[in-house]
Amino acid sequence: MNMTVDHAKVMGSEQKKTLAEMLERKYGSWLGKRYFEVEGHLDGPALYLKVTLKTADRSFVYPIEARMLYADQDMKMDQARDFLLDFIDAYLQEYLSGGEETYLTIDWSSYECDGIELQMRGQILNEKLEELADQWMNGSSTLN
Amino acid sequence: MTARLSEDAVIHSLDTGWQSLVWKSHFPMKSGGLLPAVNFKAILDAKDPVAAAQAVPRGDMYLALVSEGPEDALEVLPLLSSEQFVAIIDHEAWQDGRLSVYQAIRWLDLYKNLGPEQLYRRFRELDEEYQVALLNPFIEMVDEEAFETLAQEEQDKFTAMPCNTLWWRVKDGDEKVQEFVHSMISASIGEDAAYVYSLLGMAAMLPPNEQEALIKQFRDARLEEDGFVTKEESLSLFSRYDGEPLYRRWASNADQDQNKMVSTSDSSALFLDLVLAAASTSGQVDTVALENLQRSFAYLANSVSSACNVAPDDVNGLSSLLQQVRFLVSYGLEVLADGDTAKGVEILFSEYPKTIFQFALSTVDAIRSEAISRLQAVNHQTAQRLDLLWKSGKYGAALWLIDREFLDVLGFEACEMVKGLFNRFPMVQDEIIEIDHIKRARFRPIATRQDFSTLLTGVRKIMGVAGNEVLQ
Repeated sequence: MNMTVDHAKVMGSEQKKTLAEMLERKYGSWLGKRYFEVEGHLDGPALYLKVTLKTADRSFVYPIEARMLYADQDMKMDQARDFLLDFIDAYLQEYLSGGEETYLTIDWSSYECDGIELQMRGQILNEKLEELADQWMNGSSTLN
Repeated sequence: MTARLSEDAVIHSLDTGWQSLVWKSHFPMKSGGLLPAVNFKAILDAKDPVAAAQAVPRGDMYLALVSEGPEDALEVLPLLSSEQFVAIIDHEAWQDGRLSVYQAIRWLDLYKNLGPEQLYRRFRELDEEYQVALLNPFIEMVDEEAFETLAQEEQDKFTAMPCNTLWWRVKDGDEKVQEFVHSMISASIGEDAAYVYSLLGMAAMLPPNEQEALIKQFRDARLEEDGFVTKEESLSLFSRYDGEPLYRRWASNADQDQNKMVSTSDSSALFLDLVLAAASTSGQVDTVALENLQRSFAYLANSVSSACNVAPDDVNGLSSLLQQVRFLVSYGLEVLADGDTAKGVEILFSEYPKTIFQFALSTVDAIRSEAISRLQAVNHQTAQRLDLLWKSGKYGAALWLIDREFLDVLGFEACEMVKGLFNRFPMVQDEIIEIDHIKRARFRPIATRQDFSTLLTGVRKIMGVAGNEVLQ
């Protein structure tokens, strides 16, 4: 099967920026030095959305991903995109307002909302530490 | 645009005053005050655990249970008084002003797991209106004559009462509701059959929503006693307040002048904490007075919660509000006492924290008025709208307007400073950071006279610049 990944159809760069700004306005008090990035792409019949909460030094990176087979749900792509964004936002509200103790599963888990099926996953990463560890393993680290 | 990330949703979030701007105080955040020191282990180990549990004020017990997680405090639940239990349902079983049966079931199910008699006892401890309102949407009752006219498959859905002349069924609701109602009725029928007749009869016959409307009045009155005032009253805490009489009453040199509110000293401790420490060590006030003061701060945080869209069960939100309240009261107290801790003790134990809070906000209103008059030179019409929004307490819409209409004219930093000024809880810009070529503002709450001074100077500076640009 020939699957094509299409980023532009889901949302343009201005829209991604606007959505990230909206999220930052909405949840500012909980962010500290963190900020949001929003991405989305189509992979054949599947729509993927990723909202990442991260620090600039990548010591905290939390990609929150959601996906759905939108045609199977009788939805248009933009409806599905907004639905997934709302679902991610609802999770973010719970995660941030609840003291950051509500976690997603590392692998995809299925959810149903208003009869619509979707999947989500998320894992908090310390990419900075991972990079340092890789450097150390490769012998190029300056750490003692 | 999505529903949750629409303009309305973001304005709603901005309106809270504590959720949207990125803020952090330079002073330590204290979680005490709202989260009472309820020690469940000490209660369970007490000689009389029931008395120990029931001695805890209902609001404190509720917050402690929510904070601990009720599923992790199952041993404490049977010890609660009916007043404490009703307080839980008052807080938890309501959503957007409507009774939420599912939320009530969540708590009652915990008692169901402890035994049918516990479920019966707790359900019956609720106000009669609660009992009927919870069952009202789901109960259908028929007499013998009506029952006989039903088809067999319909009859099978009904359960006979002990007299075999009345039948009832759960007419709506999902599996959870079905299971709960059946458990509750079966637990109650063994204890008091007459009660079940009466309850089901009322639930089936009384008009929908009538009992809910009644119990809402009782519940609102009880929440008010605990400081959770109505939305209107809560909003009124942020409305214009004439702070001059209070200032004149306490100021040694009774001449309210913004410059006199400015301090050049920079303390690393919050003035309020210094005053509380002075009160404790000087022996001027006893521990009861200190506890009452702590409670009145929690009461104030509860009072502002409705305006700030924080639900009574949102412990994190309430804690955040408590910090904001502490900072503003500390600043107001510092102004009134002119930085003198001994005088601060006198004021703090003479005036309500609510009064000092409103006084602190009133001093910032003076800068807001000044900013509006300067912004009129930039864009008269928009400044007028901003004035209207702020004075009508629509802080979220005001911030949105500033972002949309003044960003291009004022520039990012100045625009963010004005947003901090018009935030429900006024904030001063702390730093501007740049990530991936995008600037972001960080704020700190107004907690000292120095913060007020920084805000005043900053706003005057940017307004001067904006005015010059317009003149050119």
